Amino acid sequence: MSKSSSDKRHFIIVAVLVVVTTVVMGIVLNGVLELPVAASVQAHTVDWLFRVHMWLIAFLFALVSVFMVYSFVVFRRGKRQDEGEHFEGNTTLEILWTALPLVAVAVFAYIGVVTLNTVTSAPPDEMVIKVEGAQWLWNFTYPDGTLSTNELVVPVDQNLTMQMSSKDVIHDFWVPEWRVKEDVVPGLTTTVHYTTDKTGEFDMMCNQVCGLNHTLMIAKVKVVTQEEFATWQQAQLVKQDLQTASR
Amino acid sequence: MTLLLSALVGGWDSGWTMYPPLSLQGSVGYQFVFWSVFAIGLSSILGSLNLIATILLMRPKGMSMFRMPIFCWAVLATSIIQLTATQFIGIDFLLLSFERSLGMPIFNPMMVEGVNMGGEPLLHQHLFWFYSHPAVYVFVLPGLGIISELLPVFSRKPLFGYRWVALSSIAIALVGFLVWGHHMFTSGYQPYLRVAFMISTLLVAVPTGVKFFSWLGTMWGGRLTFPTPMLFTLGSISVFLIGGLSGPVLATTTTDLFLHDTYFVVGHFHATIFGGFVFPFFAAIYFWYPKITGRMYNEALGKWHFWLMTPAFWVMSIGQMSVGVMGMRRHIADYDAGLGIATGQLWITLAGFVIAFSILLMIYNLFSSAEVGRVAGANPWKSRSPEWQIASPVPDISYPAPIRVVGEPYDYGLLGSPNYVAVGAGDD
Repeated sequence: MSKSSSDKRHFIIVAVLVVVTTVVMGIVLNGVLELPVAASVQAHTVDWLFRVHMWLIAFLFALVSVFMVYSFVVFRRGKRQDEGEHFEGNTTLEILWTALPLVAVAVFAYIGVVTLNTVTSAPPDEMVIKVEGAQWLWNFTYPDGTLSTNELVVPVDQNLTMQMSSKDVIHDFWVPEWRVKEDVVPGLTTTVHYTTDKTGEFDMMCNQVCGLNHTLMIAKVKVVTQEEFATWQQAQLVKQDLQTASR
Repeated sequence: MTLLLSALVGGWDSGWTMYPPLSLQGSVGYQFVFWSVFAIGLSSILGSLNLIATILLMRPKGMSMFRMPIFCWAVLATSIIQLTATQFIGIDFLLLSFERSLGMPIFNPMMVEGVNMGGEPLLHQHLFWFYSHPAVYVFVLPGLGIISELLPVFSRKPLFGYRWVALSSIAIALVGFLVWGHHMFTSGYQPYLRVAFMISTLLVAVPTGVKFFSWLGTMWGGRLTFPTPMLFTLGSISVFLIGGLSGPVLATTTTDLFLHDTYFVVGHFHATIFGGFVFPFFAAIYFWYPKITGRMYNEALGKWHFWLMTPAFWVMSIGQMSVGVMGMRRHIADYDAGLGIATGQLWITLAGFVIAFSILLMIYNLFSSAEVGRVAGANPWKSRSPEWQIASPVPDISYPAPIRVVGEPYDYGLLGSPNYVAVGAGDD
């Protein structure tokens, strides 16, 4: 193929290859990058957008890499002795590939704002749990006064608001299965909202370096049925009363 | 030296981001880090002044701004960042010093009856990232400049859209000042800031896209050859592509709330820095080696270096991103076996060793070829740039008379086009 580089055939072949590569890459990416179990309503929104982004990545990867690899094969020097074709640029193309990404940015910013609003807005009838981070443990206080350390038990299908503060340095509240995370900052009260939709046991890990035992600053999260939750809360309260009484 | 000494007196346990109040608790090792940053910061401010002044005032006759080698544009953009941003890390660390040694309540809050009467921890994050985000572009912009500089030589074609490539460097530098808040999406700052910083961060994709597409345009219709410097240039593009494409999913706050501070970010950052800085740096070393030493490096060893390092890097990068998505946090040395990432971690580690080994090959190559390499001659790459028109290694006095720029820097493939530089052609 010693045709000129502006020959239509080059672009038809490349276009076909870009489409094929996009599909293959999209499937591979979404297959390889396995997300943890989604256990909150917010997680589903995050996952949906994550998957959309993977397809965007697949397309852009295909676009750049197919053009590049095609050039390696077709436009390599080989036995030819001449120089490359002389063209210095193309203003229409430059404007096009500045404007189209701008449109894409606008679209993704719009999707970003809408989904951000979905995952961060306070749901109705929430149970407000006070979370206190300290080097290196987590304390939880429930609305009825139930206390718990390093163990967060919550009912399923429940709107939750974590009202978080720190005793010393910056910590971070992250349950991968619930996706959304937020720092726990001394001097501030930060909040984060979840709607649990799956029972199970997860880890809540501190995700802001907080000193020696940062890695181990993990609380158990147990999402249980409403009945189990009531039983647990009763038991905790009885334990607390006994402790107060024995003092 | 000061930085290394820090390890002897307790080091610093907050990671490089120095977030207070944690960084206020630590040992005197922190002070050593601050001093070393002051010294390095001052030197980079002075260095950038030197480069800006040289580029603006000391170009040879006939070299208009748009006739400079493209690398100079990258250096200009980089220097603007260094000149204007470095002070902020200086001020930040000075304030941390004041609080540590004099007890001034700048960052550490003090709660009195539910009201904060003390300092503000987030202030540090703003100051720190206002410098440290642009600082990433200080690494990357010169690297992208090297890619733009080398591609035309090995494609035997002009750089596609020279002016757009030049101005995109400046655009990246300027947008880089508006995006620091994406490091703070989960920091607890005002929620509306998330939207502003999401939009500004996504905008980085536009000038970066211009660069990628212009590189493709440069190769299209060329006569490509693949010696080691070209391989590393193409490796740069492939790795920087991984880094660049993993950007938008982090820039979009919704997905970042999940990915923030995970190994996905580590993968993104490594790919950006390796693709934008380390790979181009190796390309530059192999490209200018004959100019510096007068001898060619060993081509076979150079190719071994490339073919070991590049696939290993892809494995490492994609491995880091995938364990991050599975729940691996950044900034920690050990992980919970329950995450199911042990196999991924093993691959990352093996790839890391392969990369290290390949770099040893390069170091051996550079030292041995300086003795036994074939004599290179003045211009082994048939480049049009001025440094290749004089002897290798560069003589003490580069030109016998002042030079004038009489042609375009990348006029490859145009019959009868004048040379880029002419020596002593009058002094009008």
